[in-house]
Amino acid sequence: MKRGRSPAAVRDRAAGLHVLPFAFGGGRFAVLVEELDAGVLPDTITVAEREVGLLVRRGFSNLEIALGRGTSERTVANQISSLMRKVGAGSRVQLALRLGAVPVPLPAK
Amino acid sequence: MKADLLQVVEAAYHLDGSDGQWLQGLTDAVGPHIDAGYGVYGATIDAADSGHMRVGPVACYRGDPAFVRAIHLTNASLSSTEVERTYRNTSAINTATERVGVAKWNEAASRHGPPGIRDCAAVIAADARGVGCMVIAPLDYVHRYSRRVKRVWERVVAHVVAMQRLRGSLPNAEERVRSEGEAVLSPAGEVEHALGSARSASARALLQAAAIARERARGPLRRQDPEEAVEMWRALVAGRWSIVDRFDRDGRRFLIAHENEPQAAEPLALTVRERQVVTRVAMGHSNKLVAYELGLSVGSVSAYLNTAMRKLGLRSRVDLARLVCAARSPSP
Repeated sequence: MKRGRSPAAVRDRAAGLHVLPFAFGGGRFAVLVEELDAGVLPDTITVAEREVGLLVRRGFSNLEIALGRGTSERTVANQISSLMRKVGAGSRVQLALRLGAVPVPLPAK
Repeated sequence: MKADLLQVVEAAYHLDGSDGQWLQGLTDAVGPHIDAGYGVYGATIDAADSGHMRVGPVACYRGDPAFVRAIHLTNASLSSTEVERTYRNTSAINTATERVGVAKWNEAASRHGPPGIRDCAAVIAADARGVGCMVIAPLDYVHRYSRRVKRVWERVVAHVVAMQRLRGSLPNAEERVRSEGEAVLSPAGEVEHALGSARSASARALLQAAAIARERARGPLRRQDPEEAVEMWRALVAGRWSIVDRFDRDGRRFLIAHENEPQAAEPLALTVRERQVVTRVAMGHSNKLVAYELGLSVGSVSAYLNTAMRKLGLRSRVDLARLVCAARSPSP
């Protein structure tokens, strides 16, 4: 069931990019995100955790991630705490940083 | 005998002596806490240039030269991402297998290290730029520190970071031990002499309260409840002062309040206090830890944070961290 659900979950490893299927507001989208740099992460991280991690480091909330992935918010929270344990992060911000938080530009003044 | 946690804090406050002696004192104090029979090694680290990390001369506690060599080799082999991720954004006490996983650590250890080493404990005290020091100990078993241990070391390390900053702003040892700072206090916390912003009644009251808490932490409490003692002795007073001991020629003791504001250089349109709070939140610190580091109340920290978030138009702490990342590394 898991396997058949997202044929779009194609990983273009050569380009270092990752296509994440994402459902939002009734529509289905694919979010193109940079792959995690696996070189500095424990290899015990699962595929689902990796995908959630990609969204955490872009600043998505648990609810947004749950809606996008079609899972429950509780599942997302569990995946995040498991990620935090695996990479030894003490907070969500630390997790995002450890996964390589994607910088946002400064607000224009 | 249980190792004394406050000794680590006290070692950080030694202002006399060279940087090398300071690091040796710190390594000796941390030693009993993490030593697993292979020695404990302290070194200054500088990861400000995220391309690579510079590691200074190594201070040893029951050390072995083979490990000193392995430390330099391992650090020289780190990629820029590893430096950025594992030394900048990490808890105050952690292990190598926690940072990179058992498989990757074994691979690196088999390349550079003496055999039989399965993990490496590290106490890392670095500021927002990634400059500071680390004290590490090879372990022959895979280890993970509990949340409780991490929590107390976060606080211990806050003192180390603050005192490294103070040493940096008073580079001359002579000057460090003679400077009267912004205020001179009696051990009971009476302000005997104050300059500048330390002269106001509210500043005096804050300094006195901090001095009293510091004395209490170093009393019988340090044995009875070391964690509570560490909690009580906060890393800074009002986001501004560090209090250090001073003995005069007759052996009388005074407390000196040095101005020691953490710099927060981001080009964000915020007040100094807001920037100090924002910098620490963006490192992944909790409001409680930020309050401890700056010597502010948790309520003030959350108020400064709220104002800053509103001014910057942000909605989450992760977004704040992403913004500070962008501010730190000027994007092309």
